[in-house]
Amino acid sequence: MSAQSSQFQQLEKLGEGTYATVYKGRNRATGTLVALKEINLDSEEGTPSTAIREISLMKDLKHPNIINLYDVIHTENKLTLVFEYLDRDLKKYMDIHGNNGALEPAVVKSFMYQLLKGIDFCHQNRVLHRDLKPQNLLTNSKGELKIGDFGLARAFGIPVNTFSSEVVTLWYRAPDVLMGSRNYSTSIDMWSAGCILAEMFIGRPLFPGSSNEDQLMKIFKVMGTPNERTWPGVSRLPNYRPNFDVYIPQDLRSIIPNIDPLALNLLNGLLQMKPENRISASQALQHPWFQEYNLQGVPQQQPDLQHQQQQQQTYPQHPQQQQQQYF
Amino acid sequence: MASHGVSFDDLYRRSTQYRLWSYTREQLAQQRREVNEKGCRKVDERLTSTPEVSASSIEKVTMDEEIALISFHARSIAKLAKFFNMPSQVRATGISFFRKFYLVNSVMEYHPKLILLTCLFLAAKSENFFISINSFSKRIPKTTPESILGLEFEILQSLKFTLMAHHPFRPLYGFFYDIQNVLGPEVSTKELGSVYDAARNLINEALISDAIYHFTPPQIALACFKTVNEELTMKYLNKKFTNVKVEDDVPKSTDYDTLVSVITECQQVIKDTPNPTKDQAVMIDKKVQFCVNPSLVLKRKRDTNEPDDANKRPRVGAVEGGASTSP
Repeated sequence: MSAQSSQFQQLEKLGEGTYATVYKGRNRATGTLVALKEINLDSEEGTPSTAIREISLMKDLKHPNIINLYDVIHTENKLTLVFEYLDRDLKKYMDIHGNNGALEPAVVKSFMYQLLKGIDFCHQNRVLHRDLKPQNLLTNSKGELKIGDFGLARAFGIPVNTFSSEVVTLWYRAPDVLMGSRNYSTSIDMWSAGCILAEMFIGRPLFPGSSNEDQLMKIFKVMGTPNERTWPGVSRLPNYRPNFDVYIPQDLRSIIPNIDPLALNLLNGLLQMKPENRISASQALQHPWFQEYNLQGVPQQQPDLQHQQQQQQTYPQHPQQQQQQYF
Repeated sequence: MASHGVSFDDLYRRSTQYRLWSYTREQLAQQRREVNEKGCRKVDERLTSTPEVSASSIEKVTMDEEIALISFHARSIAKLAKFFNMPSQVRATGISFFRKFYLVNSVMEYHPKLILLTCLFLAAKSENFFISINSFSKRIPKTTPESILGLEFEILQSLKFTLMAHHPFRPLYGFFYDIQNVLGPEVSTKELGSVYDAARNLINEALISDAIYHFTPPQIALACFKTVNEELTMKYLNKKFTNVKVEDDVPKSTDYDTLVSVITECQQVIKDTPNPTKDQAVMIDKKVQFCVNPSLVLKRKRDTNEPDDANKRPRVGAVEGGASTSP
């Protein structure tokens, strides 16, 4: 039943994953392109547990915005995961199609909606990705975006208090995790989503920190240094220091000048310092910025101006938004 | 906005556990018949390649014997997992891998004593419980890291790489809270606590029953509650469903009578779990030994002067002995 490795022609190397090498490949019979993730089995422990968990998650996470795992091939000393192939990752897409990296607002909106759909599906299935970044988001010429590389992902149960804090590439890492919190949950991915949203608008990483400490300072300079008043409990986090340099929150418009107010509102919801205040993926999908995607099948909601005003007026009463007063 | 959500039942129906590993009774019986026939053909093949052994001297294992032997060794996995202090999630997943493996393969193809060890080791990896192959193998007599790791891919392939396992423990915990919520002062925490503990024990039995192929994890959890304390469970269900107060997580169309009949049926399936004695298992085990390696018959003939049963027993029961009574 399982595929043979000879079924695929190995083409150029696409990159090094967290524990594997990824090649482009072609199905010899059908001509279909695939991504071949090769995992070395030289380890004394047999199949690496990261591979086992990635296979486990990917087999159960079937969604249009998540890379599809087609098959697993076993050869003498390696295991090959055969994934759906997409032309390029979001980082490369921005380099090629962006204006100095920055994407058109309509493209940003479409990618963001698809990213949130994928994240929402992971979270519904009790899976944290933990390593969302442009390099792990794949796009194609049809404008589709899919989440890939679940090498660091894991399923979460109750309680969620025993995860290691050594996850998520620094630039997209949430401040609670940077300060050593270990009981993070879905909000960890929402912070990353916020960083990615800003990056698509400005064409460069929002918080390109060079170390844990520098990463925190870059965040504080924009979002303000947290304290017990803005974030009750923050001083109990392991890496919190009372003598952090104190910055006041900046208006994100000073960094992203042309962002429209609705997109800004969503971004603020995602980039909440206190993890409990970050909006969830399913809430984000309902955000008025995505109104045009959410109108299907609801005929009474016509996208006329009057209705849009109504939406905007009622929006501040959204329960999650009430917690964002200090912006 | 609540309608945007996906019910937990919808999520479960998307899982590979539901899509690939749920069966009606007829399907399950058919599957096992086919596997048994496949095993018999395999024995015939072996007999063809060992003409010195007469076919009549080998007794094939029946479908019912396969079921009995698998359920006996599923219990060995539980004991072994306890011996290694593994969490219940690992234990349950190991049992689930093992039983699914034998829905694809016959005991006449792969001897359960080896398969059960690799299943448990794979389950530990899959559920993120770290144990090194050396410390695992060292404490189980007559194994080597190679003998355990060598079967990993066979098992992964038989499982169709679907490793995500949903067990009734979490739903049971959820019901434990909901019962308190719904019944309030009508049930004392102490009473409910002891019902919960007993129900949790019963889940270990359910994991070895066919309930896992016919029912969802929450249905199994309720069946365990009802077996332990019918009055309490019925009081809870009554209040939950017949009161007008319908909550978000309970689909309005759910028919109370259907639910009760489903969980009553599930209780019976759990009760019918085969529980062969050690002697029965050893007898079947011995048949399996000859099926897997027909030339052992010749050896037995050479040893015919010795009174065989007593001498052979420790050898036949080696791993199962190792599983239950390791140092």
